[in-house]
Amino acid sequence: MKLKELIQKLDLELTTSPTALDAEVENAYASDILSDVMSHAKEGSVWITIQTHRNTVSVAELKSFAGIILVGGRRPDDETLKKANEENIPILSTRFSTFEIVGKLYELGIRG
Amino acid sequence: MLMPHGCTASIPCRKIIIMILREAVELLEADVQYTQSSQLEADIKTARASDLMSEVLADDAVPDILLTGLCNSHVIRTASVFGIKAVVFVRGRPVDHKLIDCALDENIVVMTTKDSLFTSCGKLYTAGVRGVTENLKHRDSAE
Amino acid sequence: METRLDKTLEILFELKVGDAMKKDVVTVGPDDSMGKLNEEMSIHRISGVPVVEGKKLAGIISISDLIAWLTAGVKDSKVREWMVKDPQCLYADQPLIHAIKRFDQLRFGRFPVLDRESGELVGIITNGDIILGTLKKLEQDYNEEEVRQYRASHFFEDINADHLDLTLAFIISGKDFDHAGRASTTMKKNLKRLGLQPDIIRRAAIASYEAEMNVVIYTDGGTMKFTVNDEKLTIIVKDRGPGIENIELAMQEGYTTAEPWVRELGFGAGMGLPNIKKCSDFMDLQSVVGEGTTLKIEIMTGVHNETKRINPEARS
Repeated sequence: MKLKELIQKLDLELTTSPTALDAEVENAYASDILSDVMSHAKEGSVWITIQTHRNTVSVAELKSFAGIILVGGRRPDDETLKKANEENIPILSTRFSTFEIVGKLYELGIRG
Repeated sequence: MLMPHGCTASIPCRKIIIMILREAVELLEADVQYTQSSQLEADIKTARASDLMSEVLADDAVPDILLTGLCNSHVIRTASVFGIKAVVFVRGRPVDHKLIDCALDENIVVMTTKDSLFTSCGKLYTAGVRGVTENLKHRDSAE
Repeated sequence: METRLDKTLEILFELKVGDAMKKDVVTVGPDDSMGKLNEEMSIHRISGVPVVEGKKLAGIISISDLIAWLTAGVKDSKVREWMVKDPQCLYADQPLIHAIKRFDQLRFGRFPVLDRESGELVGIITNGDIILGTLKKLEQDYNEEEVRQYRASHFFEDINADHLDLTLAFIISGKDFDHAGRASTTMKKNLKRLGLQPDIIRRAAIASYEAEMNVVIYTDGGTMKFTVNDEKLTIIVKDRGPGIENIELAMQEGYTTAEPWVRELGFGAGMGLPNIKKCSDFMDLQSVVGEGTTLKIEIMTGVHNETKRINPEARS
Protein backbone atom coordinates (compact mmCIF):
# COMPACT_ATOMS: atom_id res chain seq x y z
CA MET A 1 0.00 0.00 0.00
CA LYS A 2 1.22 3.48 -0.84
CA LEU A 3 2.12 5.79 2.02
CA LYS A 4 -0.48 8.33 0.95
CA GLU A 5 -3.18 5.67 1.12
CA LEU A 6 -2.14 4.87 4.68
CA ILE A 7 -2.32 8.56 5.54
CA GLN A 8 -5.82 8.77 4.19
CA LYS A 9 -7.11 5.48 5.63
CA LEU A 10 -5.72 6.08 9.11
CA ASP A 11 -6.41 9.82 9.17
CA LEU A 12 -2.75 10.62 9.81
CA GLU A 13 -1.63 14.22 9.91
CA LEU A 14 1.23 15.08 7.57
CA THR A 15 3.56 17.47 9.39
CA THR A 16 6.23 17.71 6.67
CA SER A 17 6.08 18.94 3.05
CA PRO A 18 3.92 16.73 0.84
CA THR A 19 6.74 14.91 -0.92
CA ALA A 20 7.81 11.25 -1.14
CA LEU A 21 4.28 10.01 -0.41
CA ASP A 22 4.16 7.49 -3.25
CA ALA A 23 6.49 5.04 -1.52
CA GLU A 24 5.12 1.53 -1.36
CA VAL A 25 4.85 0.36 2.27
CA GLU A 26 4.85 -3.31 3.22
CA ASN A 27 6.60 -3.37 6.56
CA ALA A 28 6.61 -1.42 9.76
CA TYR A 29 8.66 -1.31 12.92
CA ALA A 30 7.56 -0.01 16.29
CA SER A 31 10.20 1.05 18.78
CA ASP A 32 11.28 4.01 20.87
CA ILE A 33 14.87 2.85 21.17
CA LEU A 34 17.03 4.19 18.35
CA SER A 35 19.72 1.51 18.56
CA ASP A 36 17.01 -1.17 18.37
CA VAL A 37 15.56 0.42 15.24
CA MET A 38 19.01 0.74 13.69
CA SER A 39 19.80 -2.93 14.17
CA HIS A 40 16.43 -4.61 13.56
CA ALA A 41 14.04 -2.62 11.36
CA LYS A 42 13.72 -3.55 7.69
CA GLU A 43 14.66 -0.92 5.11
CA GLY A 44 11.67 0.85 3.59
CA SER A 45 9.52 0.36 6.69
CA VAL A 46 7.34 2.95 8.35
CA TRP A 47 8.58 3.57 11.85
CA ILE A 48 6.16 4.04 14.71
CA THR A 49 7.64 5.89 17.67
CA ILE A 50 7.07 8.46 20.38
CA GLN A 51 10.54 9.96 19.89
CA THR A 52 10.42 13.43 18.35
CA HIS A 53 14.03 14.57 18.41
CA ARG A 54 16.27 15.20 15.45
CA ASN A 55 18.13 11.90 15.58
CA THR A 56 15.01 10.08 14.45
CA VAL A 57 15.39 11.65 10.99
CA SER A 58 19.00 10.47 10.79
CA VAL A 59 17.91 6.94 11.65
CA ALA A 60 15.09 7.09 9.10
CA GLU A 61 17.49 8.34 6.46
CA LEU A 62 20.09 5.67 7.22
CA LYS A 63 17.48 2.90 7.08
CA SER A 64 15.68 4.39 4.03
CA PHE A 65 12.37 4.42 5.87
CA ALA A 66 9.24 5.37 3.96
CA GLY A 67 8.21 7.58 6.86
CA ILE A 68 7.88 8.10 10.61
CA ILE A 69 4.59 7.97 12.48
CA LEU A 70 4.61 9.88 15.76
CA VAL A 71 2.08 8.56 18.26
CA GLY A 72 0.05 10.04 21.11
CA GLY A 73 -0.47 13.33 19.26
CA ARG A 74 3.28 14.10 19.26
CA ARG A 75 4.61 16.52 16.70
CA PRO A 76 8.21 16.82 15.54
CA ASP A 77 10.50 19.41 17.15
CA ASP A 78 11.31 22.40 14.92
CA GLU A 79 14.81 21.08 14.25
CA THR A 80 13.42 17.65 13.45
CA LEU A 81 10.90 19.12 11.06
CA LYS A 82 13.54 21.16 9.26
CA LYS A 83 15.83 18.18 8.89
CA ALA A 84 12.98 15.90 7.76
CA ASN A 85 12.05 18.35 5.00
CA GLU A 86 15.67 18.52 3.90
CA GLU A 87 15.98 14.74 3.81
CA ASN A 88 12.52 14.15 2.33
CA ILE A 89 11.42 11.94 5.20
CA PRO A 90 7.65 12.26 5.72
CA ILE A 91 6.71 12.62 9.38
CA LEU A 92 3.11 11.78 10.23
CA SER A 93 1.28 12.31 13.46
CA THR A 94 -1.59 10.38 15.04
CA ARG A 95 -3.47 10.88 18.28
CA PHE A 96 -3.52 7.10 18.77
CA SER A 97 -1.03 5.24 20.95
CA THR A 98 1.58 2.87 19.53
CA PHE A 99 -0.57 -0.17 20.29
CA GLU A 100 -3.59 1.32 18.60
CA ILE A 101 -1.96 2.60 15.41
CA VAL A 102 0.04 -0.62 15.04
CA GLY A 103 -3.21 -2.56 15.33
CA LYS A 104 -4.77 -0.48 12.59
CA LEU A 105 -1.73 -0.83 10.30
CA TYR A 106 -1.75 -4.58 10.92
CA GLU A 107 -5.40 -4.75 9.96
CA LEU A 108 -4.52 -2.99 6.68
CA GLY A 109 -2.08 -5.79 5.91
CA ILE A 110 1.18 -4.11 6.93
CA ARG A 111 3.52 -6.62 8.54
CA GLY A 112 6.49 -6.48 10.92
CA MET B 1 -17.19 -32.14 13.44
CA LEU B 2 -14.51 -31.41 15.95
CA MET B 3 -14.29 -27.93 17.33
CA PRO B 4 -10.81 -26.51 16.84
CA HIS B 5 -9.00 -25.61 19.99
CA GLY B 6 -10.04 -22.30 21.47
CA CYS B 7 -13.20 -22.16 19.39
CA THR B 8 -15.50 -23.18 22.21
CA ALA B 9 -17.45 -20.22 23.43
CA SER B 10 -16.85 -18.98 26.94
CA ILE B 11 -19.90 -18.25 29.02
CA PRO B 12 -21.81 -15.40 27.44
CA CYS B 13 -22.56 -12.81 30.05
CA ARG B 14 -22.91 -9.04 30.23
CA LYS B 15 -19.22 -8.42 30.72
CA ILE B 16 -17.51 -8.79 27.35
CA ILE B 17 -14.46 -10.97 27.66
CA ILE B 18 -12.01 -10.28 24.84
CA MET B 19 -9.49 -12.84 25.98
CA ILE B 20 -7.77 -14.14 29.04
CA LEU B 21 -4.03 -13.95 29.56
CA ARG B 22 -3.59 -17.64 28.78
CA GLU B 23 -5.06 -17.03 25.32
CA ALA B 24 -2.78 -14.03 24.77
CA VAL B 25 0.17 -16.30 25.59
CA GLU B 26 -0.98 -18.80 22.95
CA LEU B 27 -1.63 -16.08 20.38
CA LEU B 28 1.84 -14.59 20.80
CA GLU B 29 3.43 -18.04 21.08
CA ALA B 30 5.04 -16.61 24.16
CA ASP B 31 7.13 -18.34 26.79
CA VAL B 32 5.85 -17.53 30.24
CA GLN B 33 8.87 -16.85 32.44
CA TYR B 34 7.12 -16.21 35.67
CA THR B 35 3.53 -16.46 36.83
CA GLN B 36 1.25 -17.83 39.47
CA SER B 37 -1.19 -20.12 37.71
CA SER B 38 -4.33 -18.16 38.61
CA GLN B 39 -2.90 -15.01 37.02
CA LEU B 40 -3.24 -16.55 33.57
CA GLU B 41 -7.01 -16.39 33.98
CA ALA B 42 -6.96 -12.58 34.13
CA ASP B 43 -9.05 -10.73 31.53
CA ILE B 44 -7.14 -8.86 28.85
CA LYS B 45 -9.10 -6.01 27.33
CA THR B 46 -6.51 -3.27 26.91
CA ALA B 47 -2.84 -3.07 26.05
CA ARG B 48 -0.06 -0.50 25.84
CA ALA B 49 3.14 -0.67 23.83
CA SER B 50 6.10 1.52 24.78
CA ASP B 51 9.81 1.47 25.37
CA LEU B 52 9.69 4.59 27.50
CA MET B 53 8.55 3.78 30.97
CA SER B 54 7.94 7.41 31.88
CA GLU B 55 5.39 7.62 29.09
CA VAL B 56 3.57 4.65 30.53
CA LEU B 57 3.60 6.18 33.99
CA ALA B 58 2.15 9.44 32.69
CA ASP B 59 -0.97 7.76 31.25
CA ASP B 60 -4.47 8.31 32.57
CA ALA B 61 -5.58 4.70 32.40
CA VAL B 62 -3.98 1.41 33.35
CA PRO B 63 -3.70 -1.21 30.58
CA ASP B 64 -4.11 -4.92 31.33
CA ILE B 65 -0.88 -5.78 29.56
CA LEU B 66 2.31 -3.94 28.61
CA LEU B 67 4.38 -4.84 25.54
CA THR B 68 7.92 -3.54 25.28
CA GLY B 69 11.22 -3.95 23.52
CA LEU B 70 13.00 -2.78 26.62
CA CYS B 71 14.26 -5.61 28.77
CA ASN B 72 15.24 -4.70 32.30
CA SER B 73 13.92 -4.78 35.86
CA HIS B 74 12.56 -1.25 35.53
CA VAL B 75 9.85 -2.46 33.24
CA ILE B 76 8.70 -4.74 36.07
CA ARG B 77 8.95 -1.98 38.65
CA THR B 78 7.00 0.36 36.37
CA ALA B 79 4.33 -2.30 35.91
CA SER B 80 4.15 -2.78 39.66
CA VAL B 81 4.01 0.92 40.44
CA PHE B 82 1.36 1.55 37.80
CA GLY B 83 -0.67 -1.57 38.50
CA ILE B 84 -0.15 -3.50 35.24
CA LYS B 85 -0.58 -7.24 35.68
CA ALA B 86 1.47 -8.65 32.83
CA VAL B 87 4.46 -7.72 30.69
CA VAL B 88 5.41 -9.07 27.26
CA PHE B 89 9.04 -8.73 26.23
CA VAL B 90 9.24 -8.80 22.45
CA ARG B 91 11.79 -9.95 19.88
CA GLY B 92 12.97 -12.87 22.00
CA ARG B 93 15.11 -10.79 24.32
CA PRO B 94 16.65 -12.99 27.02
CA VAL B 95 15.42 -12.15 30.50
CA ASP B 96 18.00 -12.40 33.26
CA HIS B 97 17.51 -13.72 36.78
CA LYS B 98 17.47 -10.20 38.22
CA LEU B 99 14.38 -9.46 36.18
CA ILE B 100 12.71 -12.72 37.20
CA ASP B 101 13.53 -12.06 40.87
CA CYS B 102 11.97 -8.66 40.51
CA ALA B 103 8.83 -10.13 38.90
CA LEU B 104 8.64 -12.65 41.71
CA ASP B 105 8.85 -9.83 44.22
CA GLU B 106 6.27 -7.68 42.52
CA ASN B 107 4.05 -10.55 41.38
CA ILE B 108 3.97 -9.52 37.72
CA VAL B 109 3.47 -12.07 34.93
CA VAL B 110 6.49 -12.08 32.62
CA MET B 111 6.55 -13.57 29.14
CA THR B 112 8.74 -13.38 26.07
CA THR B 113 7.81 -13.71 22.42
CA LYS B 114 9.95 -14.02 19.31
CA ASP B 115 7.65 -11.62 17.45
CA SER B 116 8.51 -7.94 17.05
CA LEU B 117 6.61 -5.27 18.93
CA PHE B 118 4.73 -4.48 15.73
CA THR B 119 3.63 -8.05 15.09
CA SER B 120 2.71 -8.73 18.73
CA CYS B 121 0.53 -5.62 18.90
CA GLY B 122 -1.01 -6.41 15.52
CA LYS B 123 -2.00 -9.91 16.62
CA LEU B 124 -3.57 -8.75 19.88
CA TYR B 125 -5.38 -5.87 18.17
CA THR B 126 -6.81 -8.17 15.53
CA ALA B 127 -8.08 -10.42 18.33
CA GLY B 128 -10.04 -7.50 19.80
CA VAL B 129 -7.68 -6.09 22.43
CA ARG B 130 -7.74 -2.30 22.40
CA GLY B 131 -5.50 0.53 23.53
CA VAL B 132 -6.31 2.39 26.71
CA THR B 133 -7.26 5.68 25.05
CA GLU B 134 -9.52 4.02 22.52
CA ASN B 135 -11.07 2.04 25.31
CA LEU B 136 -11.72 5.20 27.35
CA LYS B 137 -13.24 6.94 24.34
CA HIS B 138 -15.36 3.95 23.54
CA ARG B 139 -16.64 3.88 27.09
CA ASP B 140 -17.33 7.61 27.08
CA SER B 141 -19.37 7.44 23.93
CA ALA B 142 -21.24 4.39 25.19
CA GLU B 143 -22.40 6.20 28.26
CA MET C 1 -13.01 -28.15 61.58
CA GLU C 2 -16.64 -27.14 61.56
CA THR C 3 -15.88 -23.58 60.51
CA ARG C 4 -13.79 -24.86 57.65
CA LEU C 5 -16.64 -27.09 56.45
CA ASP C 6 -19.03 -24.17 56.68
CA LYS C 7 -16.65 -22.25 54.51
CA THR C 8 -16.59 -25.06 51.92
CA LEU C 9 -20.36 -25.21 51.89
CA GLU C 10 -20.49 -21.47 51.40
CA ILE C 11 -18.16 -21.79 48.45
CA LEU C 12 -20.29 -24.52 46.91
CA PHE C 13 -23.23 -22.13 46.95
CA GLU C 14 -21.18 -19.18 45.79
CA LEU C 15 -19.28 -20.82 42.93
CA LYS C 16 -21.25 -21.48 39.77
CA VAL C 17 -20.99 -24.49 37.48
CA GLY C 18 -19.51 -22.07 34.92
CA ASP C 19 -16.65 -21.23 37.30
CA ALA C 20 -15.50 -24.81 37.77
CA MET C 21 -16.28 -26.40 34.39
CA LYS C 22 -13.75 -27.06 31.65
CA LYS C 23 -14.28 -24.58 28.83
CA ASP C 24 -12.11 -26.25 26.21
CA VAL C 25 -14.39 -29.09 25.26
CA VAL C 26 -13.60 -31.78 22.77
CA THR C 27 -16.79 -32.49 20.85
CA VAL C 28 -17.88 -34.76 18.02
CA GLY C 29 -20.66 -34.40 15.47
CA PRO C 30 -23.51 -36.93 15.18
CA ASP C 31 -22.34 -37.90 11.69
CA ASP C 32 -18.74 -38.54 12.70
CA SER C 33 -17.73 -42.18 12.56
CA MET C 34 -17.35 -44.27 15.70
CA GLY C 35 -13.78 -44.89 14.58
CA LYS C 36 -13.05 -41.21 14.80
CA LEU C 37 -14.64 -41.04 18.24
CA ASN C 38 -12.37 -43.88 19.34
CA GLU C 39 -9.37 -41.91 18.09
CA GLU C 40 -10.40 -38.69 19.79
CA MET C 41 -11.02 -40.42 23.08
CA SER C 42 -7.60 -42.02 23.09
CA ILE C 43 -5.80 -38.86 21.93
CA HIS C 44 -7.38 -36.68 24.60
CA ARG C 45 -7.61 -39.48 27.21
CA ILE C 46 -11.21 -38.73 27.98
CA SER C 47 -14.06 -41.07 28.75
CA GLY C 48 -17.02 -39.07 27.47
CA VAL C 49 -17.68 -36.59 24.68
CA PRO C 50 -20.65 -34.28 24.02
CA VAL C 51 -22.17 -34.62 20.56
CA VAL C 52 -22.81 -31.23 19.01
CA GLU C 53 -24.87 -30.37 15.95
CA GLY C 54 -24.67 -26.73 14.94
CA LYS C 55 -24.01 -25.21 18.32
CA LYS C 56 -26.67 -27.26 20.06
CA LEU C 57 -26.08 -30.33 22.12
CA ALA C 58 -27.47 -33.39 20.35
CA GLY C 59 -26.32 -36.03 22.80
CA ILE C 60 -23.47 -37.46 24.78
CA ILE C 61 -21.38 -40.51 24.13
CA SER C 62 -19.14 -42.28 26.60
CA ILE C 63 -16.61 -45.05 26.73
CA SER C 64 -19.33 -47.59 27.61
CA ASP C 65 -21.13 -46.73 24.36
CA LEU C 66 -17.83 -47.17 22.53
CA ILE C 67 -17.32 -50.57 24.12
CA ALA C 68 -20.86 -51.55 23.15
CA TRP C 69 -20.08 -50.60 19.55
CA LEU C 70 -16.77 -52.51 19.55
CA THR C 71 -18.48 -55.59 21.03
CA ALA C 72 -21.25 -55.44 18.44
CA GLY C 73 -18.59 -55.48 15.71
CA VAL C 74 -20.55 -53.18 13.40
CA LYS C 75 -18.33 -51.31 10.99
CA ASP C 76 -19.01 -47.85 9.46
CA SER C 77 -21.23 -46.87 12.30
CA LYS C 78 -22.02 -43.28 13.15
CA VAL C 79 -21.95 -41.56 16.52
CA ARG C 80 -25.68 -40.77 16.11
CA GLU C 81 -26.54 -44.48 16.39
CA TRP C 82 -24.75 -45.06 19.69
CA MET C 83 -24.98 -41.77 21.57
CA VAL C 84 -27.38 -41.07 24.41
CA LYS C 85 -29.93 -38.57 23.10
CA ASP C 86 -31.22 -35.62 25.17
CA PRO C 87 -28.69 -36.08 27.93
CA GLN C 88 -29.01 -34.63 31.40
CA CYS C 89 -27.37 -31.20 31.49
CA LEU C 90 -26.40 -28.49 33.89
CA TYR C 91 -26.57 -24.76 33.32
CA ALA C 92 -23.53 -22.52 33.73
CA ASP C 93 -25.33 -20.24 36.19
CA GLN C 94 -26.34 -23.00 38.62
CA PRO C 95 -24.49 -23.17 41.94
CA LEU C 96 -21.96 -25.97 42.33
CA ILE C 97 -23.96 -27.48 45.16
CA HIS C 98 -26.69 -28.25 42.64
CA ALA C 99 -24.18 -30.04 40.43
CA ILE C 100 -23.02 -32.14 43.38
CA LYS C 101 -26.60 -33.22 44.07
CA ARG C 102 -27.08 -34.23 40.45
CA PHE C 103 -23.86 -36.23 40.42
CA ASP C 104 -25.03 -37.93 43.59
CA GLN C 105 -28.52 -38.70 42.24
CA LEU C 106 -27.60 -39.85 38.75
CA ARG C 107 -24.10 -41.26 39.30
CA PHE C 108 -22.95 -39.87 35.94
CA GLY C 109 -19.28 -39.29 35.23
CA ARG C 110 -19.85 -35.91 33.61
CA PHE C 111 -22.47 -33.36 32.65
CA PRO C 112 -22.47 -31.12 29.59
CA VAL C 113 -22.93 -27.49 30.63
CA LEU C 114 -25.27 -25.20 28.69
CA ASP C 115 -25.77 -21.47 28.63
CA ARG C 116 -29.31 -20.89 29.91
CA GLU C 117 -30.23 -18.17 27.42
CA SER C 118 -28.82 -19.53 24.19
CA GLY C 119 -29.02 -23.22 25.06
CA GLU C 120 -25.57 -23.66 23.57
CA LEU C 121 -22.87 -25.94 24.94
CA VAL C 122 -20.31 -23.90 26.88
CA GLY C 123 -18.42 -26.53 28.85
CA ILE C 124 -18.28 -29.88 30.56
CA ILE C 125 -17.99 -30.71 34.23
CA THR C 126 -16.80 -33.76 36.15
CA ASN C 127 -16.58 -34.50 39.86
CA GLY C 128 -12.88 -33.76 39.63
CA ASP C 129 -13.57 -30.27 38.28
CA ILE C 130 -15.81 -29.56 41.26
CA ILE C 131 -13.15 -30.62 43.74
CA LEU C 132 -10.46 -28.63 41.92
CA GLY C 133 -12.65 -25.53 41.64
CA THR C 134 -13.51 -25.65 45.32
CA LEU C 135 -9.91 -26.15 46.40
CA LYS C 136 -8.75 -23.26 44.20
CA LYS C 137 -11.36 -20.96 45.68
CA LEU C 138 -10.49 -22.07 49.23
CA GLU C 139 -6.85 -21.33 48.57
CA GLN C 140 -7.66 -17.95 47.09
CA ASP C 141 -9.90 -17.00 50.01
CA TYR C 142 -7.23 -18.16 52.43
CA ASN C 143 -4.61 -16.00 50.73
CA GLU C 144 -6.90 -12.99 50.77
CA GLU C 145 -7.60 -13.51 54.46
CA GLU C 146 -3.90 -13.79 55.12
CA VAL C 147 -3.24 -10.53 53.30
CA ARG C 148 -6.07 -8.86 55.20
CA GLN C 149 -4.71 -9.94 58.58
CA TYR C 150 -1.23 -8.89 57.54
CA ARG C 151 -2.46 -5.44 56.77
CA ALA C 152 -1.56 -2.80 59.30
CA SER C 153 -4.54 -0.60 58.59
CA HIS C 154 -5.48 -0.58 62.25
CA PHE C 155 -2.07 0.85 63.10
CA PHE C 156 -3.22 4.42 63.45
CA GLU C 157 -6.29 3.45 65.48
CA ASP C 158 -4.34 1.20 67.84
CA ILE C 159 -1.83 3.78 68.89
CA ASN C 160 -3.08 6.67 70.96
CA ALA C 161 -1.63 10.12 70.49
CA ASP C 162 -2.90 13.54 69.55
CA HIS C 163 -0.72 13.41 66.51
CA LEU C 164 1.09 10.47 64.94
CA ASP C 165 3.59 10.43 62.12
CA LEU C 166 5.14 7.30 60.68
CA THR C 167 8.42 7.96 58.94
CA LEU C 168 10.41 5.56 56.79
CA ALA C 169 13.69 6.48 55.19
CA PHE C 170 15.67 4.95 52.34
CA ILE C 171 19.15 5.54 50.99
CA ILE C 172 19.36 5.89 47.21
CA SER C 173 22.64 5.14 45.46
CA GLY C 174 23.42 7.17 42.36
CA LYS C 175 23.82 5.24 39.06
CA ASP C 176 22.88 1.97 40.78
CA PHE C 177 20.38 0.73 38.24
CA ASP C 178 20.06 -2.76 39.69
CA HIS C 179 18.44 -1.49 42.85
CA ALA C 180 16.73 1.59 41.45
CA GLY C 181 13.05 1.63 42.34
CA ARG C 182 13.45 -0.45 45.48
CA ALA C 183 12.47 2.39 47.83
CA SER C 184 9.30 3.15 45.88
CA THR C 185 8.11 -0.43 45.48
CA THR C 186 8.85 -1.18 49.14
CA MET C 187 6.97 1.94 50.13
CA LYS C 188 4.07 0.97 47.92
CA LYS C 189 3.75 -2.32 49.82
CA ASN C 190 3.90 -0.47 53.14
CA LEU C 191 1.16 1.92 52.08
CA LYS C 192 -0.97 -1.06 51.08
CA ARG C 193 -0.52 -2.55 54.53
CA LEU C 194 -1.52 0.75 56.06
CA GLY C 195 -4.80 0.43 54.19
CA LEU C 196 -4.58 3.55 52.04
CA GLN C 197 -6.94 3.80 49.08
CA PRO C 198 -5.60 2.07 45.95
CA ASP C 199 -5.65 5.16 43.72
CA ILE C 200 -3.83 7.21 46.35
CA ILE C 201 -1.23 4.45 46.65
CA ARG C 202 -0.84 4.39 42.88
CA ARG C 203 -0.30 8.13 42.62
CA ALA C 204 2.16 8.04 45.51
CA ALA C 205 4.03 5.12 43.95
CA ILE C 206 4.31 6.81 40.54
CA ALA C 207 5.49 10.13 41.97
CA SER C 208 7.93 8.38 44.27
CA TYR C 209 9.27 6.12 41.52
CA GLU C 210 9.88 9.01 39.12
CA ALA C 211 11.64 10.93 41.88
CA GLU C 212 13.75 7.92 42.81
CA MET C 213 14.75 7.33 39.19
CA ASN C 214 15.79 10.98 38.92
CA VAL C 215 18.14 10.53 41.86
CA VAL C 216 19.59 7.36 40.35
CA ILE C 217 19.97 8.75 36.83
CA TYR C 218 21.15 12.28 37.42
CA THR C 219 22.79 12.49 40.83
CA ASP C 220 25.50 11.01 43.00
CA GLY C 221 22.87 9.58 45.33
CA GLY C 222 20.65 10.78 48.12
CA THR C 223 17.85 9.90 50.52
CA MET C 224 14.10 9.48 50.43
CA LYS C 225 11.93 10.02 53.47
CA PHE C 226 8.28 9.02 53.54
CA THR C 227 6.09 10.39 56.31
CA VAL C 228 2.51 9.17 56.66
CA ASN C 229 -0.16 10.41 59.00
CA ASP C 230 -3.95 10.33 58.88
CA GLU C 231 -3.97 13.48 56.76
CA LYS C 232 -1.24 13.15 54.16
CA LEU C 233 1.81 11.40 52.82
CA THR C 234 4.93 13.55 52.51
CA ILE C 235 7.87 12.42 50.41
CA ILE C 236 11.13 14.32 50.79
CA VAL C 237 13.84 13.48 48.29
CA LYS C 238 17.30 14.95 48.86
CA ASP C 239 20.32 14.41 46.68
CA ARG C 240 23.97 15.41 46.81
CA GLY C 241 24.10 17.21 43.50
CA PRO C 242 24.95 18.32 40.87
CA GLY C 243 21.73 20.37 41.11
CA ILE C 244 19.32 21.69 38.49
CA GLU C 245 20.34 24.84 36.62
CA ASN C 246 16.95 25.96 35.40
CA ILE C 247 14.01 24.54 37.36
CA GLU C 248 11.39 26.14 35.15
CA LEU C 249 12.88 24.45 32.10
CA ALA C 250 13.23 21.15 33.94
CA MET C 251 9.51 21.20 34.73
CA GLN C 252 8.59 21.41 31.05
CA GLU C 253 7.28 18.24 29.50
CA GLY C 254 9.79 16.75 27.09
CA TYR C 255 12.75 18.79 28.36
CA THR C 256 15.63 16.50 29.25
CA THR C 257 19.34 16.49 29.86
CA ALA C 258 19.51 12.71 29.85
CA GLU C 259 22.41 11.04 28.15
CA PRO C 260 21.71 8.44 25.44
CA TRP C 261 22.43 5.47 27.76
CA VAL C 262 19.65 6.67 30.04
CA ARG C 263 17.26 6.88 27.12
CA GLU C 264 18.21 3.37 26.05
CA LEU C 265 17.07 2.22 29.49
CA GLY C 266 13.65 3.71 28.81
CA PHE C 267 14.05 6.81 30.94
CA GLY C 268 15.07 10.40 30.43
CA ALA C 269 12.18 11.37 28.17
CA GLY C 270 11.60 14.55 30.11
CA MET C 271 8.37 13.31 31.62
CA GLY C 272 9.45 12.68 35.20
CA LEU C 273 8.98 16.00 36.95
CA PRO C 274 5.76 16.93 35.12
CA ASN C 275 4.39 13.51 36.01
CA ILE C 276 5.34 13.92 39.66
CA LYS C 277 3.45 17.21 39.66
CA LYS C 278 0.44 15.57 38.04
CA CYS C 279 0.34 12.83 40.68
CA SER C 280 0.86 14.99 43.74
CA ASP C 281 -1.33 17.48 45.58
CA PHE C 282 1.63 19.68 46.39
CA MET C 283 5.13 19.77 44.97
CA ASP C 284 8.12 21.94 45.72
CA LEU C 285 11.51 21.74 44.06
CA GLN C 286 14.54 23.60 45.42
CA SER C 287 17.98 23.27 43.93
CA VAL C 288 21.44 24.75 44.33
CA VAL C 289 23.89 23.99 41.55
CA GLY C 290 26.94 22.24 42.94
CA GLU C 291 25.16 21.32 46.17
CA GLY C 292 22.03 19.39 45.47
CA THR C 293 18.27 19.26 45.04
CA THR C 294 15.42 18.85 47.51
CA LEU C 295 12.06 17.72 46.23
CA LYS C 296 9.01 17.78 48.49
CA ILE C 297 5.86 15.95 47.44
CA GLU C 298 2.60 15.85 49.36
CA ILE C 299 -0.31 13.59 48.68
CA MET C 300 -3.48 13.87 50.74
CA THR C 301 -4.50 10.53 52.16
CA GLY C 302 -7.95 11.36 53.51
CA VAL C 303 -10.95 9.89 51.69
CA HIS C 304 -12.55 13.31 51.21
CA ASN C 305 -9.59 14.72 49.38
CA GLU C 306 -9.64 12.05 46.74
CA THR C 307 -13.21 12.70 45.69
CA LYS C 308 -12.57 16.43 45.50
CA ARG C 309 -9.50 16.04 43.36
CA ILE C 310 -10.02 16.29 39.64
CA ASN C 311 -8.71 12.91 38.91
CA PRO C 312 -8.30 11.63 35.37
CA GLU C 313 -9.15 8.21 36.78
CA ALA C 314 -12.65 9.46 37.48
CA ARG C 315 -13.43 8.93 33.84
CA SER C 316 -12.92 5.22 34.06
